Amino acid sequence: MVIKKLLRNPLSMIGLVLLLGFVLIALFAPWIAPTLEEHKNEPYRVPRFGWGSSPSPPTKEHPMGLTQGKYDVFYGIIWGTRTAFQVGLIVTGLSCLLGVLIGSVSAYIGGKFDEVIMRFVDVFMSFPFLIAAIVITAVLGRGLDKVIIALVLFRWTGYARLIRGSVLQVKQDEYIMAARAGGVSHPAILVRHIIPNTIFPVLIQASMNMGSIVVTAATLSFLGLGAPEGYADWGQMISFARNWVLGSPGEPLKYWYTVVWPGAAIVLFVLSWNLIGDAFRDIMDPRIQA
Amino acid sequence: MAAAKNKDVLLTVNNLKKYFPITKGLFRRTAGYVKAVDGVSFQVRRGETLGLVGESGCGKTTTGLSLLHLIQPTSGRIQLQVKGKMLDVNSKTIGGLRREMQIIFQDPFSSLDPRMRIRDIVAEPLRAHGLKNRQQRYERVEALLNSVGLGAAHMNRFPHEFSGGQRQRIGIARALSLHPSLVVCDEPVSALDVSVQAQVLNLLDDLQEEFGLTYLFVAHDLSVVQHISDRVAVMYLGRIVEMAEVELLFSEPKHPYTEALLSAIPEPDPDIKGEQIILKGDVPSPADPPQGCHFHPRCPYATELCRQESPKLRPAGEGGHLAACHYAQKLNLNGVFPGETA
Ligand SMILES: Nc1ncnc2c1ncn2[C@@H]1O[C@H](COP(=O)(O)OP(=O)(O)OP(=O)(O)O)[C@@H](O)[C@H]1O
Ligand code: SF4
Ligand SMILES: [Mg+2]
Repeated sequence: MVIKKLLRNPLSMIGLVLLLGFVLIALFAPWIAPTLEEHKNEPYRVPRFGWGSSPSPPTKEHPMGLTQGKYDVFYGIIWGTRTAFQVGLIVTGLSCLLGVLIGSVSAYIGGKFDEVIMRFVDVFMSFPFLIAAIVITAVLGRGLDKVIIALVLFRWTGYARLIRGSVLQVKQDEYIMAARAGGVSHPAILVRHIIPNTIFPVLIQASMNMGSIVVTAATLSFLGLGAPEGYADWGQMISFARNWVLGSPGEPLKYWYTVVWPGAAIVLFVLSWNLIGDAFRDIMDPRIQA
Repeated sequence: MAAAKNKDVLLTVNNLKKYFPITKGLFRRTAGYVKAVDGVSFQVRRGETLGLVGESGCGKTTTGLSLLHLIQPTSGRIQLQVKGKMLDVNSKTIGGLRREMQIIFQDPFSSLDPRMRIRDIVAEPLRAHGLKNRQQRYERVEALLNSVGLGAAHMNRFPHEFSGGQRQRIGIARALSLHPSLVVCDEPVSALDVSVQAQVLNLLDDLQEEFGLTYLFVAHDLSVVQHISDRVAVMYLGRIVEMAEVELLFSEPKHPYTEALLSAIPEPDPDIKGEQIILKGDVPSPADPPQGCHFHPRCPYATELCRQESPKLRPAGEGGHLAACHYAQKLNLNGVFPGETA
């Protein structure tokens, strides 16, 4: 039913098609961009073709060109799709879980307990994220997993706040009292009544955030905090373009391929999730369906 | 209504109070209390219907919710008879007593979870009370839906697909799922269209007979409880001001507030021009009730004594007639005669 409604809306259709495209690319990466024989055990390592440091334009063998250090852009984009999904799904999943758990329990219990938890959330939210991420990676070391940890640590608070607001409202509804009267335990009420009635704004937010997480992860890679050099990651691909975006004197677009392809991948990825999030917003509420 | 008049007491409520704190400022200092229920005592006999009547905000819902410990009462003693024994209802025992006491809520639109199917809404108390087998639960649900005038065809639907009257029937089916002995009906028809009110009232009447239920029936005007109650308690600002058999309360009210409520019931026969008593002023706030008799600022018979001293609920006539008025015995108040109203 949800699917049917998604299909009826042209914008969400575009979102779905884009997302489906990315899913297929991620699934079939080994066939689209086969790993070289000598790198069989490290498929996420982007192969290099040559030893110069400057990029070289697209050719038949390298349809998106080679970026700084002669890394193959096409390979990086294709396998980077997997990285984008991994980072996006893991970060969104974990931070959503943490946020929903803490936010809903806090609001359901309410009172002083809730107040203390929310001050704690405020503290987390008042940290400038990038600085915090730099500190975390400085302590834990560089790497995608560290980026994921930093993102989860600073993303759950948004979900916690969001769900808390709705739980504070919903817990006043009479059907909660009706469940109490029927002898339903507090944890069961939370799981069966409170969360189903408050989770949708969170899911919409989560789908919107899938895109922005990938952008943030890319930013961290760009700053050199993320994946190690040569790892298939869109942010990393863009960071390779750093010295070449301005082209060369007289030829401003000379190295366009170093930034356009990874840039396009990120923009389309973000766009697809946002379109889907928008569509969810309109669809997921059975009260609107009536 | 089915006056199963065996006299054994099912519920005893003694000096029940519920004060809601009013908090102020950053540190949530308690600045005072809303005395929503302020020392209410009554008994309900097995098989009867006790009507609980009063204006909006007088504490009827709070009384009902406190009885079932859906909100924690501030003080007071509640006892329920289970298998011949009077058991205390408190936060420790309530878990085991839920199946004996159920409630039908005022608002059928917020009392059903919008994301649950009807079968799961009605089955929920069964599930919570350990009926693990899904098949068996749904069989019970079907039987329950049948007895409230709905059927198997409704089981898989969601609440928004139903009208107010149907939703209230679903709420009734849920309340009856555990075979309770006492059901608090909190204004079960006040949110419904006039045309379906009578249907739901008749249903409640039939179910009382079928399942041997005892009702505490809350309403905000006397005309609704007239036909459904055996006895009526009138509430004003958190206290019961009069309680009597329904006929006596209507024909010989002993409290000026009851008299005023009775005079507000519309006359079916325009020739009998009963004089309506218009009460002056509004109901005072339960956060700041008047000194002395709570009713004195609006009472046409108030004296200095009423301003000073709060009257207790005392015998005021035959048949257990109780009233909280200094002049209950002296005033000659106007009632309505049986059959005079619609
Ligand atoms: N949770 C609460 N916190 C603070 N005050 C409350 C709360 N619930 C009820 N009250 C107050 O207690 C008083 C009694 O409320 P209650 O809902 O019991 O009245 P009622 O007789 O059921 O009225 P109605 O006919 O409108 O349903 C009101 O003044 C109300 O504002
Ligand atoms: S005690 Fe006085 S004020 Fe109160 S109801 Fe009786 S006459 Fe009126
Ligand atoms: Mg009420």
